[in-house]
Amino acid sequence: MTENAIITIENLNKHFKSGDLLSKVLKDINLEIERGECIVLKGVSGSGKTTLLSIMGGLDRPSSGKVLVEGESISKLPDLHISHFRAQKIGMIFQHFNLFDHLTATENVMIPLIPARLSMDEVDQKVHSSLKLANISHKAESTAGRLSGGEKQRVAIARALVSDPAIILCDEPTANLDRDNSLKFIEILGQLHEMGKTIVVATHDPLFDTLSFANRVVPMEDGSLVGSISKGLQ
Amino acid sequence: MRNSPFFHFLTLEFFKERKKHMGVIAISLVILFLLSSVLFISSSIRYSLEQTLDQEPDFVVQRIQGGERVSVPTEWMDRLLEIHGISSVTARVYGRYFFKSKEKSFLIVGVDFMDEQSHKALRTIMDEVDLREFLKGDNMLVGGGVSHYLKSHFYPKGYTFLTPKGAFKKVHLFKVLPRESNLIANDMIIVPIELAQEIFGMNEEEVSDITFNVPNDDEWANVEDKISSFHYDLRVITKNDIKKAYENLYNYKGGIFLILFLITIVTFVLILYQRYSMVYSSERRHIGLLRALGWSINDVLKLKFFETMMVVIVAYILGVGLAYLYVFVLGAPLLREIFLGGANLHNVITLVPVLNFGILSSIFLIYAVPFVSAVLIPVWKIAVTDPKEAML
Amino acid sequence: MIKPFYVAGSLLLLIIFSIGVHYISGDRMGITDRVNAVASMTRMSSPSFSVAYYEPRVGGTKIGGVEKAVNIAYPEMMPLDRMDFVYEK
Repeated sequence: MTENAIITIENLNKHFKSGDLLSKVLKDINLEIERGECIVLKGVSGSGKTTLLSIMGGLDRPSSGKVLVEGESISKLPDLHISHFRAQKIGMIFQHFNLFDHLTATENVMIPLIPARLSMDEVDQKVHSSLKLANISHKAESTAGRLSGGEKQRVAIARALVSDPAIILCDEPTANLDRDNSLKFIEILGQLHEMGKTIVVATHDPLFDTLSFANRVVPMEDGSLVGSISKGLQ
Repeated sequence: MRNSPFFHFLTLEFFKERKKHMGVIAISLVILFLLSSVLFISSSIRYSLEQTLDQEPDFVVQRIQGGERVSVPTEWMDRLLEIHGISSVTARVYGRYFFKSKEKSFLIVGVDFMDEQSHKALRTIMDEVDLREFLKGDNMLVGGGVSHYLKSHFYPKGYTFLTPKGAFKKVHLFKVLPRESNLIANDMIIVPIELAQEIFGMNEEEVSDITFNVPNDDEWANVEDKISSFHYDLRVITKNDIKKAYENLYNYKGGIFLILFLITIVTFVLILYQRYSMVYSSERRHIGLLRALGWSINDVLKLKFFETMMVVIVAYILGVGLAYLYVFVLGAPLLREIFLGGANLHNVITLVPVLNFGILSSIFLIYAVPFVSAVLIPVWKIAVTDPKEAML
Repeated sequence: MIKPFYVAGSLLLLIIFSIGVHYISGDRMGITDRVNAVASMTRMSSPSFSVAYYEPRVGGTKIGGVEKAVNIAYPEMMPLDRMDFVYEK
């Protein structure tokens, strides 16, 4: 494990049991991601990239192996700690945006801050600057259900950024966006990278192949990592 | 609390999803309304009757011949007065007068208006009654039910009673007793004691029964034994027997309410089951997402607990409030008929507002505990699964 | 907390307050005193819900303000307790 590593994955395996059938989703994964790095996990549907991302974000637990974030193993943390970890260190952007459609953009963005026991003024301030960063302040009071796909994605970004996490995990972020909106998303991602955030994108979108700021593209196939294409720090 | 993002989010979520909550509140409201109304009516009647029980004499002595109650000679009163520890020996003249084909009956009660207690009581019941005028002729004071019945059968001014001796006795309707006294006076006709004796074909030395008090409770059994040995055809009724009779009355009515309660509980269980499965299916993703965004199991449970408590409290206040309005302000139309439906004469009673803490808290517990559990158990089940799985 | 919550909360408090006012200001003693006075005068306190099994039930049979006694066995027969066929209204 290098000193600068923010995420270290060692001998990670994940399998699901369905009756007598055992399906292995992740097989013996070893990966190290450095602070401020941007990594693209590439692979077709069912290659295991979403599961790997979920385990990195503490949404799922590995069957065996270790996941260390900033040197601390998150695989066996009790609920209160893992929740705290998710709230503080991880910003998650989902394929289907996963917004609460009946709430406004502002209300959606404030959700990760609620357990933090901040005052209403502090929450307002953080939400406001996060919406600004994601370039969606003009739709702050619109109900999420009425926003376009691109706008929803920007609200999701604002929500991921609101607690100022060190790691941003994106699961198929452009799968439901048109080309223009996908490019805009990539642009925002570039800004985040410049801010020093560690970014992991799981995608099969070819747009990410030519990503200028990606440090590495890690192809995945059938639950395993198949080499890694390093692009060098830019 | 005002500056808390948690409560802001809680109220926000509650109002944004009000349509979902409204349905649950509406159904709960109906159940709570029915339950509270029934309990309010029964506790009000019970309260009023328990109050009157204090006025009831400790002992009643009757005469039974061939299994039927017959008149008691007044000389028994003197014999009773000889027993040490007995006080307030009074004769009662009363009986049921069956009105045509025995379909309806009135309770005719003879009162000694010369007695100061009766005099005082009459003034409490009605302020403006002129006793001298009343006692001048053959007059009667009637309960609301009797007045209503006589009027609807073309006897607005009085009624001609047929005595057992075959003679007719015309009695003028002097005044109607106030509606407030309908609980016990609805089918009552109050006449001077001599007139009652005449209607029932009794002579002056005969009364229906004799009442007396025994101030020392420890002497009750003793006195009962002594009196029972007086005469072979004598029956002694104590206040406790009357209390038991009341309880029987409540048990009889209770049977109907047991069915009503069972229906309510079955409905409630169905709602709980529906709520349980609804929480499980529709809120699964919602809870999974909150967990993915950094909420702990405790945070989710806290949110859902407060959300459910808001539904419970709103439904409870509205249900109990509506029941109060329906029972004590509007007089419980329709539902009252379940209590009074078996009445001999149509009765419109005034229910005394009675709010018993025990009743209110039991209504709350019967409703809130299962309801909150029906929500929190599935929420907890979802919250403990991995967020990724819950979000699927 | 949001504004509609305060509005709804105030309405609920108003309901509780109105119940409280009605409960406290209601003429509870007036009613019980009268019932007690009847009991004390007649020395009888049996409730006026006589329930003899052979007596017809009143509930639900009251039509147009007049109680209607119908003989279920002979529905076409003139009710026995009516005098309106003898006396004109």
